[in-house]
Amino acid sequence: MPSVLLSTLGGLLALMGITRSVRPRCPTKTAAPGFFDAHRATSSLNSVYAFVDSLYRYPIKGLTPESLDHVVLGSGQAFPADRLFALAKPSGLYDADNFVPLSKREYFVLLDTDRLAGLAARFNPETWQLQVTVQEHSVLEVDLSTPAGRDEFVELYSRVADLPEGVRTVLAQQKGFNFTDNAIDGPRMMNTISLVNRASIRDLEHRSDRKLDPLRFRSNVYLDGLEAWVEREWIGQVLRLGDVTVRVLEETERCAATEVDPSTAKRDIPVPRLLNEHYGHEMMGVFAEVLEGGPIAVGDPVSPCDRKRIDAVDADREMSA
Amino acid sequence: MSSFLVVARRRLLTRDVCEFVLRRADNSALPPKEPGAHINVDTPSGETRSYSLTGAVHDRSRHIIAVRRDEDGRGGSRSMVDEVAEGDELRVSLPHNDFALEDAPGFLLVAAGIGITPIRAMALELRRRGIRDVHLVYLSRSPEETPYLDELQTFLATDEPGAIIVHHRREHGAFDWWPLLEHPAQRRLYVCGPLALQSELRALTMHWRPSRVHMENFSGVSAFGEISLPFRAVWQPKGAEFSGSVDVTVPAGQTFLSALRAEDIDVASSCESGTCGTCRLRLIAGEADHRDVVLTEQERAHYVMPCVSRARSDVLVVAPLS
Repeated sequence: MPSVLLSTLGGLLALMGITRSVRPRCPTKTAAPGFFDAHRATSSLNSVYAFVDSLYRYPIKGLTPESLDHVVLGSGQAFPADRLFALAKPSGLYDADNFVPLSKREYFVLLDTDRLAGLAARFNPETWQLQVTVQEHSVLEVDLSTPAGRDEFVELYSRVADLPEGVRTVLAQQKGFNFTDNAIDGPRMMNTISLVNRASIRDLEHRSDRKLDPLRFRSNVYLDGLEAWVEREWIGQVLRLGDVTVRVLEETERCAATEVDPSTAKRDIPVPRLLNEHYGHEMMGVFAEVLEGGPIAVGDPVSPCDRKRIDAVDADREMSA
Repeated sequence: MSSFLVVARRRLLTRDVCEFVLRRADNSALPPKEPGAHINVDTPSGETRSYSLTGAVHDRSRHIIAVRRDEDGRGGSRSMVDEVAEGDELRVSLPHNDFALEDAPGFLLVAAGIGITPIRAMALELRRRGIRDVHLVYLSRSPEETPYLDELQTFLATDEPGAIIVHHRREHGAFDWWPLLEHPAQRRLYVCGPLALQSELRALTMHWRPSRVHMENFSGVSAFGEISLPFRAVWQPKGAEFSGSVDVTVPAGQTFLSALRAEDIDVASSCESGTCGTCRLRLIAGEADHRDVVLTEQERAHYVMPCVSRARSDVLVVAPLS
């Protein structure tokens, strides 16, 4: 490896495959071997700067994302105002009064209803006001806390889902529950946040020669400045995202919802098949539980958590348990 | 099935669009046709081309088509406009309709350039049926490049303002669609024009009921460019000899899996993209068109993944694993 390449930060970043400009913030943590690059643990990686690229919530399952600059995560909690509602299929298994967690098949999602991506929905969790736009034109402005507002909302989406006249989708909402796909695996998995490494998406783009909008993966936290696919080695590891500590629990196996382009609402690229073809798996991203809550903002550094802190967190949790 | 028709008349509608009136040599009635239908014509170049029928469809004595001479094409349309003379015979297929005009109390018809041909047939037919709530938006570059302009303006001129909007992009710039699209009500939208126009209107009608938005497109081509023809399947679970098997029709635009579910057949699934293996069914008879990445060569004779796979034979007989 020519040492001249390594003599500048730019050279190092180029070597690491980092193409976007790095924010002029000082990295505050040093990387443990195996964190940023599981396969190159002997490389000098201390000055690589991994950071939070973007933050999103999806207040209504299946509908469009809302970008956030910052958010405050609660310990043991899911991403705030994420998948608070879902559109349940008519005459399906959803029963508001005797609720049990259900498969995503019981709700309208991009898996089979690609047009949901064509309407932009914005929800204000403080006021419960919801606005839906089509190419910047408003088609619905309602208060979801009122029956009339919910009716109007349900009417619009029943039409979009092409339900027969008079048949309505059900706006599902349960106190203390969110409708993430893995909510069916119990409260611990329901109360996770999703992370995606943008470098892994770029690697798939490069190998498949396809442009992939990161929002196909509908993640809460997008990370950048990492090597591609390092997140696959993170299961069980503890990370710091800004002031937040999380433990990575599981990988995210991808389904046909990722085939839909979020900007055109067209099913156009077979993402799970491309993953299978190029890597022999269908993973993109991980789920993590929040061990220590706090604020997190775009640009915040991402780093492995040091042993002392992990021990302290674990002791705390044992105490409270 | 095809037959030879005589060119009874040809006339240039614009500098590069030529109309042909086709009839049988003995003047007998042609097979019935619907608005939106097309015929395949063997052009003098040897290429077969599809042309929408554009005249009044209830008149069974003739087919009318209009052909735009495509300078950069493979020669089919060029040979039609340059070589076909009155009195010539052309080999023509039966009319086929992928763009059927369905009932509604109101219609918004959109045509761009030569896309006017099926839309004109629709406008004529709707007028004949006495449907008043019909708006036609006709986009073209300039008045000189607008086939049937005068005729349509005269024909559709009503007391109702806005029944026909002719918009010449070269003179007027971009068209503001939103006032026409904001409130879908019970109307149907029919669009015939280039892909860019179809994409624009699709994006602007996301709040419409999708089954009321009609665009002439290449039906049967899946999202990833594979040809997906309709087929039949038989669901034959254990004990079907007592409870009866279920016949399932899988249309071009639907997956085998969702067609099964539409018949209340519950098949577990997860990825729905042919990678996870959850929806595996036993293949009892028929030849499958396997599009998954799960089954091995040996397994393919006995199993099928209905989320992505289709049929090579006319019928597939399938059953659950247990």
